[in-house]
Amino acid sequence: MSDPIDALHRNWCLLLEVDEADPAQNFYDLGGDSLVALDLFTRVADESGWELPIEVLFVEGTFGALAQHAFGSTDG
Amino acid sequence: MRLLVIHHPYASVNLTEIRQRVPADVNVHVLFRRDVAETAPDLLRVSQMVFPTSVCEGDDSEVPLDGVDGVVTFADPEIEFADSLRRRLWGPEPLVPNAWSKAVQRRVFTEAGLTRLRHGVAHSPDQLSRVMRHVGYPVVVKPLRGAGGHGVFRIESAVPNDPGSKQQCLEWPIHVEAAIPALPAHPRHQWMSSMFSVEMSTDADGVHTPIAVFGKVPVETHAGGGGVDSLRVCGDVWPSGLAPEEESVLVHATANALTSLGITRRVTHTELFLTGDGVEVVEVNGRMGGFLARVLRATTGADLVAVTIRTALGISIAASDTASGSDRSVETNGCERRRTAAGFFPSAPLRAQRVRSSVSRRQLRELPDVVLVEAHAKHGSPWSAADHRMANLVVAADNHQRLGAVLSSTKDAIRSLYQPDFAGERTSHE
Repeated sequence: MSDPIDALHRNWCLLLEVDEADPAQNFYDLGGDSLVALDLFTRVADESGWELPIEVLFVEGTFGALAQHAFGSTDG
Repeated sequence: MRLLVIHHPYASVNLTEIRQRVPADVNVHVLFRRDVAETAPDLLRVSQMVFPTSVCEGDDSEVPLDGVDGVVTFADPEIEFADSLRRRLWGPEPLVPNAWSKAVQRRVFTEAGLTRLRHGVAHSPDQLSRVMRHVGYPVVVKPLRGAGGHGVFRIESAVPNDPGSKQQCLEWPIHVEAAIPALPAHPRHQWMSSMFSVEMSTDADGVHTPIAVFGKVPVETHAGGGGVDSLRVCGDVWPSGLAPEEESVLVHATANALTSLGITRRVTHTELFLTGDGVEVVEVNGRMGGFLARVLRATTGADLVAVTIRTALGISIAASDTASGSDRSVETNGCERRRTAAGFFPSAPLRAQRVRSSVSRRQLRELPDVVLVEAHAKHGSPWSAADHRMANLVVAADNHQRLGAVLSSTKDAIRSLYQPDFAGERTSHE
């Protein structure tokens, strides 16, 4: 299984077609929608076992906010 | 407060926007009709992750409305279902039955003295020629329901015997009306059309508050045989580029149209033409316009989705909620908002079936002045999956003149990216 942050970073870049995932990047501003969100959720869960909180993705929307949650999932 | 949202894959607002824009004191419950849920299982799953979500197994009478303060949909196919629920909460609205039928609207507008445009309904190809002769050429034929310019044709003159393949594209019955004698272009910006749209919030007492007036990119005309041309809408522009007094004329005409239909408690999207004699209402749609919320966010910060939700719940709209009352100097996500923007959706080749070109979101995003790529046609997919559009973009610039140039170069660039799909295609502009 991958590290959740690695899986999040890799699939964020893949699905939103960006070279790098900047903490301030907003999922919605990059063209993300409900179905891309589900794709991201499924890929990250398959690769790392971590279920990213879709609610955070929808409300806050930034890579940084998600990464914090991913970090929290591995912390302790 | 509790709001019921009737959702659908073709809604003008997606779940992300609803979640981001819903006021803090509003609890959203999403409802899918069973047949919609079955065709969009992924959308249902995402909704279930974010909102309390249910599926309606039967008709509207089976939907519990206890504790519900408002019902809204952002999708044309769900308007009548949402209306049936709203009727249970508040009684008939709109007051005019079948108010979203273009034929009914034209009749009501005529009775209210808002139009003198001749019109009729054809139930079959045999009737079509008769109705067109009665109305008088040139005519525009369009589906009785729906928006977005799908299935809209302009027919210049009587076509001998067989209007042919175009008739096979029509869904019967269809609405036929005399072509509106619109001005050839926008009064100030020649690259824009003389068509406009008004987003209007109407409260429970029927008081109208204009939220924004949009201009339009010229409709694309796809020339067919025998003078039968397919018309495709391809963009909305904010601000409209009109003087305030000219916008007031459009708003006044919209308010009259909404009043004649007996509309309350909703945000509507009304399309109008400027003509030599003033204004002609094209149609009223019972939900906010597609993609317009993104355009407003790129420029004014006005939040059309939040306004639509608040209107559905009966919450008053403030001046700051309107495009003209918003703070245009505010920064968002570190980027200064631009002064003009367009939702731009250049149309696909008319006869293409599947997308042959390989175009990435990244290629479109990297085009100059593109600020959002919402969707694009992907290689191998049917063009219908992309709504017969190459892409849905927001493009921004500092003024209308610059925006016109940007749209032109953006369209050329996108067409170049999709060049393999355009072999043999003829397109002209109205």
